[in-house]
Amino acid sequence: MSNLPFIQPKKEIYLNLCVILIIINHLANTPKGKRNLTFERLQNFYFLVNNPIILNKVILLADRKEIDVKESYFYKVDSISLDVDDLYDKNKMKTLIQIISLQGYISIEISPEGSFVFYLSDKGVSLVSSLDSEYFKEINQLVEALLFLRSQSIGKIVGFIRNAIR
Amino acid sequence: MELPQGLLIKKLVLHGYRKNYTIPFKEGINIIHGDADTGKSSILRFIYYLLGGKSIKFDEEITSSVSYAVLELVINNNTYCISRDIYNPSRDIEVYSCEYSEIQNNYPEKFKSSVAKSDSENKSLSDFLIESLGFSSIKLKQSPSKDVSETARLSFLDLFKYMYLNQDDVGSTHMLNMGNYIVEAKNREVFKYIFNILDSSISELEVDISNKAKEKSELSSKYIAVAEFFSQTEFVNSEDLNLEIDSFDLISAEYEGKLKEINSRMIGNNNWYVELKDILNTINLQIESYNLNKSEAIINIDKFTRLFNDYKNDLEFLNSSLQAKQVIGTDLVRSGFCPICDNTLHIEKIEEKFEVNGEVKIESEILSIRRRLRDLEDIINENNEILRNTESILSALYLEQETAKSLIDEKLQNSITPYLLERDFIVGEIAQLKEKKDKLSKLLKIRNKHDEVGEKIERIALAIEKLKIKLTALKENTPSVDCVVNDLSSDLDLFIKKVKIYNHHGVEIDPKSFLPKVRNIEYRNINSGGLRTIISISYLAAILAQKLHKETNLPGLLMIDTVGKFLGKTYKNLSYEANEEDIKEGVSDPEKYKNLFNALIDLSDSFKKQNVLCQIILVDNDIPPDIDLLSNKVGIISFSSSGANGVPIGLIDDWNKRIIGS
Repeated sequence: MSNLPFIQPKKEIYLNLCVILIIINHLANTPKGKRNLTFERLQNFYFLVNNPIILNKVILLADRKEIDVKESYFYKVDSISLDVDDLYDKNKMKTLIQIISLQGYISIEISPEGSFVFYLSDKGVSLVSSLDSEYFKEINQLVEALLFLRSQSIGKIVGFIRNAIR
Repeated sequence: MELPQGLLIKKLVLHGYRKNYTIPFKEGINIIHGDADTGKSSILRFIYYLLGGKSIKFDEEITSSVSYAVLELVINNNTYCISRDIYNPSRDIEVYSCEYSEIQNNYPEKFKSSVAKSDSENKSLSDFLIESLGFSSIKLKQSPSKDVSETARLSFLDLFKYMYLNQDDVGSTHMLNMGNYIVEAKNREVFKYIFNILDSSISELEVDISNKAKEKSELSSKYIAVAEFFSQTEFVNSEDLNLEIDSFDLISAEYEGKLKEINSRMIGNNNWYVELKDILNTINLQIESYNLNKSEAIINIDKFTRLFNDYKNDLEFLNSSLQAKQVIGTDLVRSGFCPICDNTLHIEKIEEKFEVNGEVKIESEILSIRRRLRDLEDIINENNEILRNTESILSALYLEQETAKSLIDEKLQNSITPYLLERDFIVGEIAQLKEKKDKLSKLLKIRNKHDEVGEKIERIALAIEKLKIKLTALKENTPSVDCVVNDLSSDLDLFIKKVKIYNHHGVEIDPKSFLPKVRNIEYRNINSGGLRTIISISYLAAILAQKLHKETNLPGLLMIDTVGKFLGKTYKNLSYEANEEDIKEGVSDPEKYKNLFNALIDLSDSFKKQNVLCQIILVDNDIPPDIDLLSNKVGIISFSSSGANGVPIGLIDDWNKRIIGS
């Protein structure tokens, strides 16, 4: 892929690292302050943020008010087909987590249920606060719309997505 | 003109799908000639079938052209039309007491197709024919030699054997079922019946007369009852009905004329319509083409807007990537300790899933995307312009279209409506007239049916009278078998003499078998086919000739299919393969064929001279060349498979196998 003579801007590594950091920033804790952002939850949130149409469908399925999505995010050439690779490609997510971990932006601990959960380190928090481009602002909005999913079980979240892409 | 008593065929009509095929017949000699396979024999088969014959097989050209057949004939001065389904021989046969042209105004009388199916209530066609001809209807003993024998009613078909020689019978050793002893015995009884020499002739006659008298009185009371009903209900009489129906036809024709005139006026006044319609068509075509432009522009706008959005997104992604790079730093830490397991971690395969680009590359990409965005914007604007223009033209065109349409509607309404009103009125009147006429036609049919019963009573009365005369004659002068055989023998001798066969001697009728002998040899033992042809025809001709001397129970009709079978016909065509016996007999000499024809013409002349009715229908490929057809007033029906000189190509003259077959 990288050998192609043109750039695929959405696949830029720095761009994706920041998207992941913004997600972790908002969705690492439950409203009650408990850390529960596992690998699987992170992967599902990442898929939703990259597919705003599906995200809106999930919100509707959960009986919540839709958010305004910028027209250019759905009225485009590639919106005709849906790419579900992000939902199942574990290696891609693993690479992203390894990089931000090595840069020291996240911390990892084991939850009482025995799974790894992620949250931002102080370095990570300060980095996210300095991201103010048009796109990152948009991502912030999308992630905030998913706040209600923090207290939902992973089973429920997967169920919503499955219904939304059907 | 009053005809002598007897039977005369007037015409055969084959009612077809495409047209009707009519063959007319004359009194005296009728010759049907023409090439092979043109339907000559079918004509005789049709006559046989319509006089009650058993089912016959028709050629493809007939089955695909004809639905039913009608025979118009005169019996004892009454005209009848016999109509029979040609596909289902067991269906009842219809007899109309009128000419063919009057059939639609008459109800037919229905008869069973065979004697076996009939009873005293439902008569058969054979009963009808025998009764109309004034012959006595009798029962024949099935085995005449026994005192007690089963009997069967005589059928007209039994008589037909003595009137019709088909292609196979002529000159055949099996003519008249020779060789079948049971039928031979029955035929002898029929022969005796024809010449009134049955032992039971007198008693049969008496029974027949009393039966007929009974039937007549029954019919008379029926006739009177209906007549009374008519007079009490003041039922319209036939003449008035006919007059009224004729007047309806006149008025109808007048209305039809008016209708035609209105139609032509409507078209004449409508030239403006053609012009307006042209204009409307042009507008419609323009609308179609502009609509095409419009949808093309819409598709382009959609396509390019999507691309524009993609580039806009890419621009945002690239800008954000630049910012991320500044915040995180251009060199990523690619190895270190794993925060979970404390092992060393190396990240090598970033490029497999993601793109890693330098800042310069990203910046140049940003510039190029901006350029593309500007170009796209121009294209989208251009298409928007096209769309706006097309829409404004279209709305103007729709307006024009509307105007043209309403103009046409308005004009049509003004110019056509009065015509339509007039037209509706006339069409309504015609329909009403037709309904009234149908009603009257039905009444006329009822009237005609009643008249027919009257005619039937007359017919029976006439038959009774004739039978009574016959009875008296029989009682006074019972003919003897010897007398009949002698008369017939001398006529046969006379006829064969005219043909001039070699070695003419010993010509007579066998007093036991009633079959002919020549040179004292029985017919069936004669070897020459040609000679047998001459004798078989002469035999039936001699039987016909007896009508000139005495009353016989046989109509004056003779039909012969292929007169010249086994005979040489023309000098030109001597290629006919004669066997040894035929050569010995000299029957290949065309002179014999000509003599045979002349003998038949002579016979017909004798009938004419004595004012006795006779009709002889002959079928063959050629007519002998030297025969004077004109002065003998012979009826000729010709067919030619080539259709040369306007001669019909056959009985079914519009049949073309290639066209209809394909």
